[in-house]
Amino acid sequence: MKRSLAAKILLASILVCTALISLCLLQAQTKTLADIDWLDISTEGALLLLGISWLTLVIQARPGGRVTQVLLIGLLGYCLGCYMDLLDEFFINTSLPLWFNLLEKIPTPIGLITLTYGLCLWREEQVTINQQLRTREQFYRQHKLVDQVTQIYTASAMRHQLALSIKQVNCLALVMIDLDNFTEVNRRYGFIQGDQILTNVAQLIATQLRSQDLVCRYAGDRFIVMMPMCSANLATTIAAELKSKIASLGYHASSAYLYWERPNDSDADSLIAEINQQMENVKQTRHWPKAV
Amino acid sequence: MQAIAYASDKCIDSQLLVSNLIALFEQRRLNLNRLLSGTGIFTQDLNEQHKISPIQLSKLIDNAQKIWQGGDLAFLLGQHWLPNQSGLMTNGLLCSRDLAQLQAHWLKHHWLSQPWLQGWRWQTESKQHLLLALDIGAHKQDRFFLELTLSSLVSTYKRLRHESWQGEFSLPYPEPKNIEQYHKYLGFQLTFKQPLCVISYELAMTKKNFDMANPHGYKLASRQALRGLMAAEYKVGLPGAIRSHLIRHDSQQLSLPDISERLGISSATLKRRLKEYHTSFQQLQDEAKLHRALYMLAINGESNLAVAQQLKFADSNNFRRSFKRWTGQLPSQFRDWLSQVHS
Repeated sequence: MKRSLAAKILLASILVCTALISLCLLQAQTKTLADIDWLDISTEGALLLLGISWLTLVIQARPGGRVTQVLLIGLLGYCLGCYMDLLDEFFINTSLPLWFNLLEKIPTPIGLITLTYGLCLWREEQVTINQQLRTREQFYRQHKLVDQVTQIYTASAMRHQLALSIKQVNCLALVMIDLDNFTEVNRRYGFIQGDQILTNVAQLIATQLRSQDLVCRYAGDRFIVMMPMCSANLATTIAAELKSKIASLGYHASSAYLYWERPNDSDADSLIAEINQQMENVKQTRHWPKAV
Repeated sequence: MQAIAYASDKCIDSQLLVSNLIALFEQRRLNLNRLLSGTGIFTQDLNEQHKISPIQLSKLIDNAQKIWQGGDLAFLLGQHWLPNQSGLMTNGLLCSRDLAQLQAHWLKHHWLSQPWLQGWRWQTESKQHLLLALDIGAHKQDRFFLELTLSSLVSTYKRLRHESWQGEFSLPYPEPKNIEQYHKYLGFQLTFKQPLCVISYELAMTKKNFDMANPHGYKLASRQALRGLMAAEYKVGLPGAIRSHLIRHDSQQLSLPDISERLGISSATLKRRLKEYHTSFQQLQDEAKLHRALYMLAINGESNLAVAQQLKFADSNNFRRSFKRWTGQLPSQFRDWLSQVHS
């Protein structure tokens, strides 16, 4: 979230807290040290600290927008309630002003209700995002498996998804795309440019696929695509489409494909091995341009 | 045995790996301070004839591996090896007539370019084999250095010949987590859990001409490289020197005190120096014996008894037991090792 907004929230919170504590000090009597229940204070204090940590996490991780605003209001309300509960412990109950006693019980329930509403909105938001990321995730999110360069998943994620799909569908196709002579690109234009191209290719492939398909970065400039419930013909067509779209970006690619059907007893690892072998064969027989 | 580099001797040219690593990290916008922390290497020093020690290199690679995500660091460095190295060694490689000449050039002068490994050349009926073992490369980073050298070899070949690499790789460790990088950069003919690291290719492949062959250039580069080697302060690392010596004198049963006497240091000092390299005399001795045993079995086709006698084992049973301890398999399984690495 924007730093300025976070700073504003911090400032406002500090003002409110200082105002409350000053008013209480003016209008009420503090308990003697003996009367203070330290156990209560530590539990209330812990709840407040937790609330503040949730607030901080949400501010740092969420983008701006309505859902975030609602979540923040909810959390702020909860924290305010915790703060007032904590303050309560330091003053003699009967000496606290009327407005304090009235106000004390309000922030927490309102905050929690708002938070719940915010979470409902978050759920809607998340469903939309999941749909947006379909061809890059297929509803399996393991952020540690994301490739840092292209922002799509790596081979490990593909292995996982492939193993899952083999159990769930009756036929699928694997397509492997490998950019030719990509080392030259990296050499000539540097890694930053090379990385950008890989990212562009990854995005391109992701947008060309059907919603039930998945693309991952296998290694280097090699991508692997899984297409469940797909005929061999469709696989070859899509492979050709991808190659021509990549060609329009200016890069030549090689492709290999593999078709698997239900009675066939292979597992994810052997399918991946097979398509790699196919890719090897394609690469071996390819004639390279002599002039570079 | 002179000019041997101990772990704290500054014998590695920074231009070799350090600058490339730093450049790569800079391009990917990764934290250079974390990369260099604890290594004693400073970016401002890298411009001159700067050298680092094996200990510094080890720490640098350690840091790099912790920061880099994706498991392809060594491969990327290897891919861009040839163009990024200017210098005595690489001129010769670029001008080589064919793979045979390239390999010979590399073996002779590898200290100038990739001092972390040492190599040997074996030949069977139809294939050539290049064996690699760690010299000053730290043992715990063996995969990194092997990945680096192997991918530099493959990309150099591709560049000089403009076609795909068709050799086989035997690797001395189990299938790693970043296996897909191996598939991409080294191809599919890989066998793991082998006793030694071997690169094998058909003899026919060694005679195919390279596009940029330049015999005059090669002679010049060769002479330059030789001069560079002679002028070098160090010519081999301690593990490499000991291993070579043990292999050459395999029938002599050399012990730690024998070697330390040759080096002119005490046994305790030698033990300590080896420990700095994270290895021990026993380990080097076992490696040398294994190396010789495999040569006699796979190349010469000799019997267990002959090997046991040559390597001064009490009897062939003793030899078999030691062999099983080193490799997990029996000697008889290795008689056709190199001709049948990939069935």
